[in-house]
Amino acid sequence: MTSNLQLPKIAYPGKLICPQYSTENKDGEDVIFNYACGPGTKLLQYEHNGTSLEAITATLIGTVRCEEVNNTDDEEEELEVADQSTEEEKSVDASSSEVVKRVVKVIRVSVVPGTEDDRRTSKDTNNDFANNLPKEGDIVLTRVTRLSLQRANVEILAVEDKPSPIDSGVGSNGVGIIAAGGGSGAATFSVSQASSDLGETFRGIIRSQDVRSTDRDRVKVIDCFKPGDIVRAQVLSLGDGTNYYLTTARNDLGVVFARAANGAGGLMYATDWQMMTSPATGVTEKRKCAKPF
Amino acid sequence: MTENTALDTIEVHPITFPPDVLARISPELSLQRHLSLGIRPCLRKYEEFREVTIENNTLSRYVDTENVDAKNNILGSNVLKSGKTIVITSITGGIIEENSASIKDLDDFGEDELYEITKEENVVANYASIYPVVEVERGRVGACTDEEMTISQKLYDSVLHSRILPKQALKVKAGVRSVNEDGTLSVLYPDELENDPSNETNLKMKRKWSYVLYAKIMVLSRTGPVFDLCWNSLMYALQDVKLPRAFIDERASDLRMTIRTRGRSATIRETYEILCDQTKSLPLMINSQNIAFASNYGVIDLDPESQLQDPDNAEEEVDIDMDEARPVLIADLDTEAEETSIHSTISVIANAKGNYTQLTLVGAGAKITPEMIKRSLLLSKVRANDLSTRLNE
Amino acid sequence: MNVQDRRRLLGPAAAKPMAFSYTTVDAVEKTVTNTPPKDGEGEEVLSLHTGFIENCNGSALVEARNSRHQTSLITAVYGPRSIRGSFTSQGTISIQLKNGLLEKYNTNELKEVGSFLMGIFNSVVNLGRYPKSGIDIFVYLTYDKELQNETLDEELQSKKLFSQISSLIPHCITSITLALADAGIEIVDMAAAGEANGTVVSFIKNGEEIVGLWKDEGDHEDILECISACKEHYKRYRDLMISCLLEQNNLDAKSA
Repeated sequence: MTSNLQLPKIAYPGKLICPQYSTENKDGEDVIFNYACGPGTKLLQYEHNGTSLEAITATLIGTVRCEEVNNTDDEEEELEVADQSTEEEKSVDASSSEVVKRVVKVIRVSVVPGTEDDRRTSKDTNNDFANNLPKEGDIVLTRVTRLSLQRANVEILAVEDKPSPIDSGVGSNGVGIIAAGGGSGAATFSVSQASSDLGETFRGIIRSQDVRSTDRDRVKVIDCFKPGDIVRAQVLSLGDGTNYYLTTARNDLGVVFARAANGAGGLMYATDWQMMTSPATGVTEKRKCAKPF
Repeated sequence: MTENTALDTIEVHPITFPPDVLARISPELSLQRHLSLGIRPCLRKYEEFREVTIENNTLSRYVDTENVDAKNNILGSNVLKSGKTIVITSITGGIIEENSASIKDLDDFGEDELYEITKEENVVANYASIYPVVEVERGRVGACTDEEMTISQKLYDSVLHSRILPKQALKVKAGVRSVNEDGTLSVLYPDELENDPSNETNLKMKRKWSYVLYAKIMVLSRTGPVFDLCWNSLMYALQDVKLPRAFIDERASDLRMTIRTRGRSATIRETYEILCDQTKSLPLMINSQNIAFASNYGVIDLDPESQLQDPDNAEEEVDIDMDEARPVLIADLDTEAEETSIHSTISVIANAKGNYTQLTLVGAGAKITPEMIKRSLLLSKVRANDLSTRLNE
Repeated sequence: MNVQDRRRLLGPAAAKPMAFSYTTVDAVEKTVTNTPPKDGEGEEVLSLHTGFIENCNGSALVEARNSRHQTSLITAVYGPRSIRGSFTSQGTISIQLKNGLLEKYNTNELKEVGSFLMGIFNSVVNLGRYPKSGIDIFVYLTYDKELQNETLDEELQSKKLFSQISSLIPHCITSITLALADAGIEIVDMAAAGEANGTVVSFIKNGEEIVGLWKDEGDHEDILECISACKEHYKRYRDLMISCLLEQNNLDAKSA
């Protein structure tokens, strides 16, 4: 990074990282750094000596990471236009004819958990689920819970390649059958005031027309998914209060893990895009498979 | 077996998942992969138990024998840490007036035959239990879960049938508080006055009380089945319970007869209230030879398909393993993967000498073979032996 | 109690909880000798831990001890979890306080404190990041004990209990903040609070902004004085929390 502004390496919630803008004169041209908020940061207003300032503040504990955002051409032009106008104003104000070239650099500042060393060794495990709720466009891993003619209901287990939330396991609300020594981890939780509006896992819907991209009208949901299958899907929209809307209409989306005979048999492997086979018994079943190769 | 080898090439799945994601979406596969390497997801060996550390009596009112904590009503406590799980047991007490009319005194209960049949029951009738309320913290509010209910009931039954708490030990040896001539209060206990027999006769009371023990068991950070942790924690806590001495006012003991003839009414009974001594206490006399410790085991078939094969000799091994699944015994179940995938469980309560109080077999998954049961009984004994030494450390 | 809870084993209904006499003579004598030296304003010793509860996303343990009393709180943060019902663009927070081993406070009191804390953390957590989800925070008041065993009559004691809950609130705030940070939930600042004479003031942004104010019955003294006293506490707690977090995340505090 070319900025001469010394950013803190380590941040904790409430730590001021940098102002929104900073400038630097370098080789005769003004460089404007525009800092944008990434994950783990928020732009907040501060009062300082009677004036209000905006500064990027950390909201997580971890190391500060900044990366230059390469604008698409459109944006760059826009920025240039904006620059020129401000420049003109300025030059008028100062009644100076000297023109200084300006470059705007957008730098995204984010705070990622873990130390510098952690990040070097493992590339992508430093974004935890808590801050990776499914967003539009995310790939999620889901388990099929219910089927109907129009849709498959699923529960979201993990956002791809992100650690899953610890507390949605058996330890807190899982699906165990019977624990050694009595009782089960799962539960028939009676509905109380708070738990009636606090559900368990995040849930989603794959509508029949979103199962595949070709021949969409003739999708039979029962031939594509079975309860218990693990399905890789993409988030279409946040949906309503209860369900995310998901799609598997892509080659690399669909069933990734399935057991034969509705979960009673062994694991099956995809042989083509709509067939899975169990190596132990040789049984084949229909599924909408994610591209196996 | 050409077909098999062809399938093996497919098995090289291009979509790979980080281990923790795999554990989440397919706990069973993740468990099988771990087991095929000879370890479990928690990185323990098959028959390895979690380390247990305990702190006894740190929360009780008698923690500092010199300076009893007046506002604390906990009579005995235990904090047990096993792996990541923390179990906090606190024992509190109540006092109940004994109903003098026991079953034997009732008329028309003479049939000898029936009496013989119930005689065995009566052995248990000489023992009391503790009333446990288990709370497993899992970020919920509202009614208790079925797990909490089952464990509480099972603890109650097991303590009763283990014959740890004789009813005799819970009898209140009540004293009498009287006002001395100089206006100060003093409490006399019948058993402390042996050298003064004249007093003792004065203190004889017809009414009898006994202590009732309650246990509140809080489980934090539940990672697996918790019954045996609760049981062990309760066992440790029970061994250090101290019962406060109780007394009634001299006036109240005088009033006793009159109230009895009038029958009991709530307002009058209040004057009877039996009070506990602030500082004096007696240790709870339990049948310490019946103290036993619990452990649990699971049986799972190693799935030959999920074995991570050595790429060099993959073909031969596949041929051998494909047909038969090999069951293994897993001790001290923990973690989500084991809990969801292991359906056959063995639960044992044993003491260090090899006396077994309880054995529960649930065979919902892999077959539990007699060898497995033998092995688990042996392990339980070793485990109980280890756990029973913890208190003296 | 007429209606027995049949889901729990609560023992025989006729049993009465043990009532301890408060007027035993030798008890008074012993406690007097063991009373810790009265240095009323004695510094509080605070010990903080995070991340020891496995089945929740973040947890914190706060143990505070000064010459007068000793407190220990466990906070567990669950979530973000999905909610049922209509779409919400922001996350919602719920805070539950639970009595620990000593059933000391009544549920109404705890609920009141819970909703007060909820008000604070609604403005501290970056809720916009958590659409359609709820964050559940549980605070267990595991241990809370007066160190001076003054033998007071019942009336005076109930009065003392009342003022005590306000002295707990700052520790609740500290532990919730720590647990949220441990859970990796975005918070705009380390919120903390101080207590003075039954008044609790909670701050963020280096004491420039007040996010919560709790006033119990107490002396009606200068409110500004209270605030500045609380601000001192706030700064101390915040610095402690930050150093604790950095240490437990293996981050070097010097480069911060």
